[in-house]
Amino acid sequence: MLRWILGGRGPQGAVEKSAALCIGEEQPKNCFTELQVLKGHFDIVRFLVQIDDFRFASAGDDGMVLVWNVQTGERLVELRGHTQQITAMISYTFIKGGKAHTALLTASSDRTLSLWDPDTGNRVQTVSDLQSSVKCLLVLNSVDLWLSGGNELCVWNRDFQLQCKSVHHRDTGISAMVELPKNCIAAAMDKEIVIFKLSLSDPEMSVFATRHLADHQDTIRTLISINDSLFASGSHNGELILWDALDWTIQAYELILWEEAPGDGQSEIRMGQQKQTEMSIQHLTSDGELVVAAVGSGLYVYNAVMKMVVAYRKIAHDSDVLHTMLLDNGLVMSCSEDGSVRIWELQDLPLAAEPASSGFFGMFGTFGRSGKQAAGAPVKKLLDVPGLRSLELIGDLIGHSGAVQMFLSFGERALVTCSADHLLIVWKDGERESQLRSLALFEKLEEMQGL
Amino acid sequence: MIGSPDLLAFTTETDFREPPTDPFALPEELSVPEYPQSSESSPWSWTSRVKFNKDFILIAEFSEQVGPQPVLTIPDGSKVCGSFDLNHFSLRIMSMDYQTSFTGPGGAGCPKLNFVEDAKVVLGDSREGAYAYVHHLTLYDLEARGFVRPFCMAYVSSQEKKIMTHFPQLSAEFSKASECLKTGNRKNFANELDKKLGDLEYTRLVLLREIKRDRLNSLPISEINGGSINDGAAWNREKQDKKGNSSLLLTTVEQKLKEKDRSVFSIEEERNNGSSDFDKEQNEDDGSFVHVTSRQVNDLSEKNILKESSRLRCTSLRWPDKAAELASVEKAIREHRSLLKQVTSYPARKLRDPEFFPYEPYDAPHSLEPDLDPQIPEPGVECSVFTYTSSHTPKLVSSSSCKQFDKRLKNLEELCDEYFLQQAQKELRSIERSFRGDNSYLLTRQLTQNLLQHLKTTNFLFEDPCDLVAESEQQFNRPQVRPLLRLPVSPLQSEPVSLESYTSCVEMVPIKLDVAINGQSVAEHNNIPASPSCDELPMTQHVPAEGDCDDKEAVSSQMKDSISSGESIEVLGTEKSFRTQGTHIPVEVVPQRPLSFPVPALEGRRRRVATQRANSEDSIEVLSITDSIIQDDLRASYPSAISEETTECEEKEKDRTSGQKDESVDGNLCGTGEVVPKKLHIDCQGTPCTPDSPTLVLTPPDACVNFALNKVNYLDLYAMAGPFFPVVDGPLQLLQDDLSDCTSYLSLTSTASVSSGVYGEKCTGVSRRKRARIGRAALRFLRQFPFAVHAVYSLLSGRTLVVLGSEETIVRHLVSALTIYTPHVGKYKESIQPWTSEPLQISDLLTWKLIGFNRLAPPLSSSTPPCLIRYGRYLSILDVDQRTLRCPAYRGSLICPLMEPRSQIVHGTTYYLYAQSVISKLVSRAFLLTFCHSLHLPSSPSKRSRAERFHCDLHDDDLKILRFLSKLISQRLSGSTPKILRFNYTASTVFKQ
Repeated sequence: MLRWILGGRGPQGAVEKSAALCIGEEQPKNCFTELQVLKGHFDIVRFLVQIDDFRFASAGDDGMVLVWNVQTGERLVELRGHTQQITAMISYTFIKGGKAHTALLTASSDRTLSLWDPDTGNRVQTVSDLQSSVKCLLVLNSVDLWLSGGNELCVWNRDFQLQCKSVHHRDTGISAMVELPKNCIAAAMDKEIVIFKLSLSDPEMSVFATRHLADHQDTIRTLISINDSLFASGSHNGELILWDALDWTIQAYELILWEEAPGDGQSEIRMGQQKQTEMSIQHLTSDGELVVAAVGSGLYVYNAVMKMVVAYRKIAHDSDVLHTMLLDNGLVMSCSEDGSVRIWELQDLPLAAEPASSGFFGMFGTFGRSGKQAAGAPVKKLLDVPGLRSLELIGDLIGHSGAVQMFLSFGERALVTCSADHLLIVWKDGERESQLRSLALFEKLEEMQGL
Repeated sequence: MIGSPDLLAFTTETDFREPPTDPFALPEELSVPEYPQSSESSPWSWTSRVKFNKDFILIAEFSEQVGPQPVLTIPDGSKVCGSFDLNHFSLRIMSMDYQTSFTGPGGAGCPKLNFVEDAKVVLGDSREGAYAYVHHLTLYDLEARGFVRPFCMAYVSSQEKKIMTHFPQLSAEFSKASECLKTGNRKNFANELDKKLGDLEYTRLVLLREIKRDRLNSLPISEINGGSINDGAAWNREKQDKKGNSSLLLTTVEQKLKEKDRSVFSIEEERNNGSSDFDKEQNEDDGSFVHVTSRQVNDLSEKNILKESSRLRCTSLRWPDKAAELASVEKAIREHRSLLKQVTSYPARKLRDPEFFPYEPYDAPHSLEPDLDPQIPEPGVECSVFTYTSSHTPKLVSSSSCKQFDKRLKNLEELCDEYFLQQAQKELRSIERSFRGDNSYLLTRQLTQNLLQHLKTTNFLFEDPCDLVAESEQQFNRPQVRPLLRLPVSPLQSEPVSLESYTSCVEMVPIKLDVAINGQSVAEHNNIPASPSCDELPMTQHVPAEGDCDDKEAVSSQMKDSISSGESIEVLGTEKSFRTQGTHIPVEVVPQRPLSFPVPALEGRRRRVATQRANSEDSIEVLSITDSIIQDDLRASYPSAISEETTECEEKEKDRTSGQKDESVDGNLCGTGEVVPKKLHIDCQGTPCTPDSPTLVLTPPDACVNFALNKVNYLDLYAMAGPFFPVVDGPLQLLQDDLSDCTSYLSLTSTASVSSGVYGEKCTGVSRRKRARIGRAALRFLRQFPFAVHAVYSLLSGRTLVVLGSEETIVRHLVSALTIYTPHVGKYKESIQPWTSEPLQISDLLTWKLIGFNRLAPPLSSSTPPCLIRYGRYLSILDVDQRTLRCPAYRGSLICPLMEPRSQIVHGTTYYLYAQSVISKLVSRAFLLTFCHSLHLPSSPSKRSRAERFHCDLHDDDLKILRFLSKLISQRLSGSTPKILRFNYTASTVFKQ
């Protein structure tokens, strides 16, 4: 375990150290057999946002937003305007003239907020000279407003008019936000979650904090909503708390949850700065029932409805897991600082389960950051849990030479990964693509009337 | 006794065959013609009786002293020729002079240079078993009889068929070499003439002086004595004049001569007093003379005159009859000037013919801007001329000493400028290289190339682009060619379709011509050729101005004469005065850069005059006069004779046209490998043949018709050939034996169509050697690594193969061996990275399919570089140091034939060809896979079963190969497909030796 902690991030290290994770080159279940490299960024690419069925935007530390066509790999537009790294990006769909338009909202360290039209590449709206740089964005589709979270919470309408803002709180600022029912917003500020209430009925729109939930012992890293009634938060020291979305009570601590939560569960708001411990919950994702947490370099899957652990793997990657995703077909995908993307399948655990001596309950057993001796009893306890399944590695995608920051799935059509090596890679199903290509070729031949 | 060599009729069996009509036959462009002699024998069945080891090139000369003699052979030495009697053979090939020489009309009493076109003959010596393509050419030599030295270059081969088949290519290539030699020769000849002229001028001056002195001598002695008193003063006065008075520079020659005469007289007198005084005078003279560049020669000659005349005075008188001598010298001057003019105007006239491309030195500086500064000598070839000429000291020449038959004749090095000679030899060596080998080899290669060009969908995969060079050219030319192909122009039509391109040589009707001088259009000159250009020329200031004018008149009259001598077809061809370019080749007026070197300042400067037909209806004839001699700048220049400059535009045009040449050859040769009559020109009015416009577009350089046939034959031939070949798609390639005149052989003058070989390009020889090398390396690779098949599988299935090693040469060698099996992804060679030390990136894998990788670590350490481990799943790694291969194992069968010849095949070339054939089979299967609709989209059950059948008799691994190739094909066809990397998650195996 020590070896693993100190271990290098190179994949060859992985090969040597955790044989269990070395899947080898034969990956029959891995359908990604074609890759395309998209070049264009000059610095770490941190954010990917899907615009529509075939377009997506990428943004990163070079302050550029590039819009790509996922089918052809073509760079459609470059959105230039930010002078510093982009800290948050979100797509913003609104109805205008009876048609839905999708625009991109970006926030940057240069303390500006911009709205872009990805069709033309124009900067439609921009706000500069904010008091602090915005770290997270949230669109409230129901009321056609959007929020920016920095040191304070600001509420904006579509025309970039500041509707109201919260009073200044602390230096730390808001690192993540989720939308809750009844016009409430949960915002993670350091170790506490603040529930804001947005009052729309007043002549002047206003937002104010109604509740401070200070149950986390450490900085909150991630905050997601699971379903209408639940939202979850994960902290640096590995606490996973499930909250009720309505009354903001703790539904589970350590392995529990409170209730509540609506909305857009996958706000990609993360703070990738700290990764010193293997306990930190970097990322949470949920499909409404299962919650996947990226804990250190491990993964675990928690059933929020049954309130029980489904599966876990302490060493899923050689380095911190940065992003996870639950795919439609029950697969879990994770990417890590080690530069790889791994695809996992939830399989029923055979009796002699995972040979590993360590379990994630170790993480829950102790709140300290050491957690190294935490194997023993809790694991056994966990193993008793009926219905425990295992996460089996069925494939990995190797291509990036830097940390894979994020990925974006287009279903069966493609998977896009972005990385610290400035590259984006589009992974596709080679079989499918070659069929499409032959179709296109035949069409072209018909056009050309033969060879 | 010397028997007459066998004369081989240059005919083809297929000249009049009907076009193939079999509806089930392959399209013509894809059909492989039978080997021409397949009925008789196998291509290899010829028996060699010859005494030489391989084909060679012989240059022989008909020496006026000793008769025919070999000059040199290429390749050098007796190794090639063996016991073959070169002397005897040169005797044979030179024993008949086939040159269609043309001597200009002897008017004006001036000697005319023979502007002889090269003659091209195929000769055979059946007793020796030697056959030769013989290219006769003449070089100019002032000292030779008729100023002409007959030479010939012969391609000597033991295979008659080879020469016959490749006659057009040989002819084209040799023409290039010949043009190069002749250019160099003209340059030297012009130099020689220049020197001689200088001598003659000088002699004339001396003679004039002598005569004057004689006249003075006839005066009473007392007068002379009286004069001698003043002589010193007179001399000094003259010196002062020279030193201080700049007006002297402006003095006319006449004045100078008077002065000189005076001074000579004075010096003569002084000379009587004592020679030491004279020497002193001379030294003083040296010191005080202000040398002006333009006067340098004059000064020099003046000094010499002083010396010489004084010397003459001392010795007995050389010329008994000075007046007669003077007359003869002046005549000689006129003659030489005329010669000089002829030789210098020759290339200019040729240049006007856009199909004439003067030899272009590779490294000569080009400039599109005319360099108008005459003071700066051009670097390169001209420079030497400059210095040489200026340093030439004139000598006295005597008319009686002109004829010397015991003189040693100049050798080739002296005849031809060194640079050009070298170029010509280079050219010849490249000819020798490219025609090396068996006839069947050459034929096959040619066929392969022709066929490959039709396989556009797949030929990019493995073929050397060298073979496909012509393809792009073809594409380039196609738009021009296509519409013309649809023009079934009857050559009997006298009305040209395109008037622009229609030119003729006969002057009949006044024609409006746009005359452009040096690129500027000037006033229209009516009927330029008819009016002697001399009319426009004011007399020069020189004493022999009449002569000058005569020369010009002579030149122009010569042109006129040559042009209007309608009976002789050769004349026309020789003169090349018709413009044979098609509409697509614009006439370009090439700005000529005047050269600066002092010549006897007698030359009217040639102006390039571009004539364009302005009025198209009035007549069929256009006289294309290339230069009119215009006096207005008398700066001496022999530009074209020496420098042969062309602008870059012209060069481009040349390139283009040579591409065209290729194409036209393809067109003609792909079917039969032999020439087919395609184009005939005839003029109903009985005027000599004129190139017909629509066909001209396709006509390669020098491809004007010039037969030694009479008109009746033309008509007959036409009547016969016309219906069968209504579509003219290539240059004329015919000479029919039975239609030729009474001679039993067929002489092909250079104007008869010539097209360069498809593989006459320089890359051929190189690529052939390269192929052999690659083939050898591949064979060695196969023998070295028993698991080679897996590596080849990796390459063919698109998995990047990394050759990992610490020694660059070994790795590079292996990489070059493996290039055979590497399909070209993207641009040619883009997918191959022979040596790199940089860590691989994922984007590299998208482009590179074969990588030589520097291990960077001591070879003993077994570590594989981290980047290779990281991307291990996309890579196959051939470790040269440890002799291991890590890659997916191949279990199919399709590519096994590639490995079989490990032991059987010895030669690299053989293996290369063998591998290519195996791979081309693969490619055709991949082609099928690409375009078989049902294989991709099995919709109906029958289709599905067909697809399954196709798949099931192939192993998965083979299918992977085919799929990869098919992907490349479809990618290429569909155009802009992004670069992608297809891969498979298959386990690798490590093979150890």
